[in-house]
Amino acid sequence: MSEYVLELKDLCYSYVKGGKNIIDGLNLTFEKGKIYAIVGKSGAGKTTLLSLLSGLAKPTSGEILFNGSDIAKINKYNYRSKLVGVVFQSFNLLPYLSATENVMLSMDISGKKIKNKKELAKKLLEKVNLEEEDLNRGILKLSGGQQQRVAIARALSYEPDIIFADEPTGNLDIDTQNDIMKILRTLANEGKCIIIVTHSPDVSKLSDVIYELKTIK
Amino acid sequence: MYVIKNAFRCISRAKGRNVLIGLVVLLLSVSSCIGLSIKEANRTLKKQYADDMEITATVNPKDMRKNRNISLDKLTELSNSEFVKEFNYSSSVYFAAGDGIEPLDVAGSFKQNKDFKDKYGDVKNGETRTTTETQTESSESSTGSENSEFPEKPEGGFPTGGGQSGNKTFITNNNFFFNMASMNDFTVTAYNSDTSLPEYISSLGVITSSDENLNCVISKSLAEENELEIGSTFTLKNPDNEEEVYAFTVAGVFDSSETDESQDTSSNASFTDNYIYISSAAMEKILLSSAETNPETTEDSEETAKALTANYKGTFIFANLDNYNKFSESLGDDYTLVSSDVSNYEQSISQLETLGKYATYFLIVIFIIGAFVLIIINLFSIRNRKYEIGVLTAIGMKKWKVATQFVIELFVVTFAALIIGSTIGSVASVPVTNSLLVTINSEEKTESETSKQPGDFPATDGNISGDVSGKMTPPGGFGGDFKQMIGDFEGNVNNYIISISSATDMTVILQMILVGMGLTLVSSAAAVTFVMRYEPLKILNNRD
Repeated sequence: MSEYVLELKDLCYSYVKGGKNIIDGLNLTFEKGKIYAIVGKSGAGKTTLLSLLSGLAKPTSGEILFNGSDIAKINKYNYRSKLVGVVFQSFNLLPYLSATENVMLSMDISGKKIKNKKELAKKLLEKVNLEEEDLNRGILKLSGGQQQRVAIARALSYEPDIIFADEPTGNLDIDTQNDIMKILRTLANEGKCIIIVTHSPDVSKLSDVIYELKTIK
Repeated sequence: MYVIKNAFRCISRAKGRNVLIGLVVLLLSVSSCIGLSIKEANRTLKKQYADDMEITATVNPKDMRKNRNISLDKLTELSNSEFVKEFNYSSSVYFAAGDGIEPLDVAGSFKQNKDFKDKYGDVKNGETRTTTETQTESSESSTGSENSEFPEKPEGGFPTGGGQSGNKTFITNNNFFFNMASMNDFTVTAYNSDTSLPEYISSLGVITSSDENLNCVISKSLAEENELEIGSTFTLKNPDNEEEVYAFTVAGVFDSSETDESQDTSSNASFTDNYIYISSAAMEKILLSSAETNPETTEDSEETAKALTANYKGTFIFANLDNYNKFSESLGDDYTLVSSDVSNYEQSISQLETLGKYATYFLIVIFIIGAFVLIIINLFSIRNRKYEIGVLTAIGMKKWKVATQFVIELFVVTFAALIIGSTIGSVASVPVTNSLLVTINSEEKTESETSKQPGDFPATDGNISGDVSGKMTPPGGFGGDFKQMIGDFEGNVNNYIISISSATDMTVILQMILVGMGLTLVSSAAAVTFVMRYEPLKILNNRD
C-alpha cells in the first residue's frame, strides 16, 4: 500500500490530440489527513487537473495512482461513486430533486449500505448550515450558496477517501466559508484527503499544502 | 431500485413530455388494437366457420359422360368414411302415367293451366324455362351439352330441381328429352330417413319412411290439374313394362311455389310439379316387386320390358370443413364432392379476408409511423436531458443504469397509454370493423352487380355439369344454421357477413403487449444509443 492516497506521475494533458500540453509532466503526491490547495492563474489548468484526478478526463500520458493503483485501470464509475467525492464549481445538482434527494441519490449510486439515508442526508445538510425549511426545497429554489452547500453535502454523503472541491467556497459568505472549511478540516482529521482548487487566499491559508500551477507558455 | 424510483420521479416531474408520448402511444394503441382485433376476428371467425360449420355435400362422378349415376352400394361404401358425420340418400324412379293422373306437360302439347302459365309463361316444345330468368337466358351456353353426352336410356336423365343449390338448372338438348323421355311422366322419390325429407314434405306429416303403403304426396298443380284430392287414387306404370302398374293414394299435397326451387322443364319427369313423394319402405317394395315382375331383365338388356331402376343420390354431412376436405381428397379421381355450403363459406369469408388484409397493411403503417414519431420524441427528450445524463454519470452512475432508467420511464408511460388505448380500441373495434364490413360489402356488391352479365349463373363451384342440387338442406340453408352456430356473428352467409359482436380477446391483448414492447424497444434504442455516446465532462463543460 502506497503512503500516498493519490500520486501523479509525469502527468500530461492536452485538449487536442498532439496539441500543446496544458499540464506537462506533473508529479504531485497527496496524503491522507491533509488539505491541499491547488492555486494558479486562470487557464493554468486547475479545473482540468481536478477533472483528471476525479476520473472525468483521461490524461494524455502519465499516471494517476490511487492507493498505488492506476485509476485508468479502476472502474471509473466505482471510482467516482465510492472512492472520491467531487464538489463541482457549477454544483451540478439535479434540478428536479430536492436538496435531501440530491444527497440521497449519491448514496444510492455509491451502492454502499447506508442505513437511514434520509436522516443522514438531513444531518449532512444541517452540518453545512442549510436551514431545515430548505431541506425539501427544489434545488432551483435555493440560492447559489445554498446549492454549493448541498453539493458539498452530496460529496460527503458516501464517505469517500478523497474529496475534490472546485472553488467550494466561491459562492459563500465568510461565515459559511469558515464553517465549510471547519467541516473539511474535521474530515481531514478523520483521515480524508481534501484537494481544493481555489483562488481564495483565505482558503489557501487554511490548507496544509499549497500547489501552484504555472501557466505553460 | 433507485433507478426505478428515479424513473417514476422523472415521469411525474416531466408531465408535458410524458403526456405527449402518452398521447402518441394512445393513438397508436387504439389503432393497433382495432387493427389487431380485426385480424383476430377474421382468424377466429374463419376458424369457427371451418370448425363449426356443418357441411352438406353430394358426391358426383367426375366424368358425367362415362358414369352419370352412383350405385347405392358405392354411396354406402363412401359413407363409411371416418370423416362423414351423417349420410342420407334419396332414390328416384321414373314412371309413366297410368289411370287417374296425367303429368303437367312442360312441352305445351298437353296441359298448361293458368297457374302454370302465370308462373312460367307459355312454354313451347323444345323450350326450357326456369324460375330464374337469367338462367334461362344462359342455358345454352352453360351446358354445352351434346347428344353424345347423355346415355341412351331415359334413366340417364336423372331428375333435377331443388336441394342445396336450389335455383340451379342443368339443361339438356330438349329434343332429345322430348323424344327419349316421352314415357317418363313422373319422378317418384323417396328418402331413406324422415329427417332428410324436404321441409315442404315433412311438414305435411303424412309420410314416414317405414310406411310400406303406397301413400304419396303430390304437387298442388298436379292435384288441381287431375282433380285429385287427399284420399284419391291413381296408377303409375313402369315405362318399360306397361303391364306393371302401381296404385298410389294421395296422402298430401305440397305447393311447389313454396319450395324455393327452380322448375326444370327439360322433361315432364324432371319438372318439380310432376314429382311424387313416397316413403322409402314403399320404394323398396316397388323395386322388389318390379325386379320380381321382370326377372330376366338387366340394365343392359335389349329386352323391352325392364325392371324399374332407382337413381340414388347421396347426401353427406360433415361436422366441419376439415373433414369435408379430407373426405374430398380421399375420393380420388373418379368422384367429386360438391357443396353449396362450401361455396357459400368461401364467398362469406372473402370479405373477412379483405378486411384482414387491410388490417395488416394498417398495422404495418401504424407501427412504422408510431416508431418514427416515438423515436423523434425520444431523441428530443434525450437532448433536453443531456445535463441530467452528465450529472448522473459524473457522480458515478453507470451509463447502462441511466439508459435503464430512461427505458423504464418510457415503458411505464407507454404501457399506461397502451392500457387506456387498448380499452378504447377494444370498444371501438367492433363498430369500426362492422363499418368496414359494410363498406367492403357494398363495394363488392357494386362490383358484382356491375360485372354480372345477363344470363350469368349465381356463384357456385361451377365445376360440374350435372346436378348439384339436393333435398337434404333444411330451409334457410347455411345462413340460418350458421347464425345459430357462431354466437358472435350476425348476418346472412348466403350474402355477406355484415357484423361481428366481439373482436378483442386475450390474443389481441397479448399482441398489444408485444406491439407496446416493440414500440418501446425501438424508440428507446435511440435513447440508449445517445446515452451511451455522451461523455459527462463534455456535457458539463458545454453547460458551463
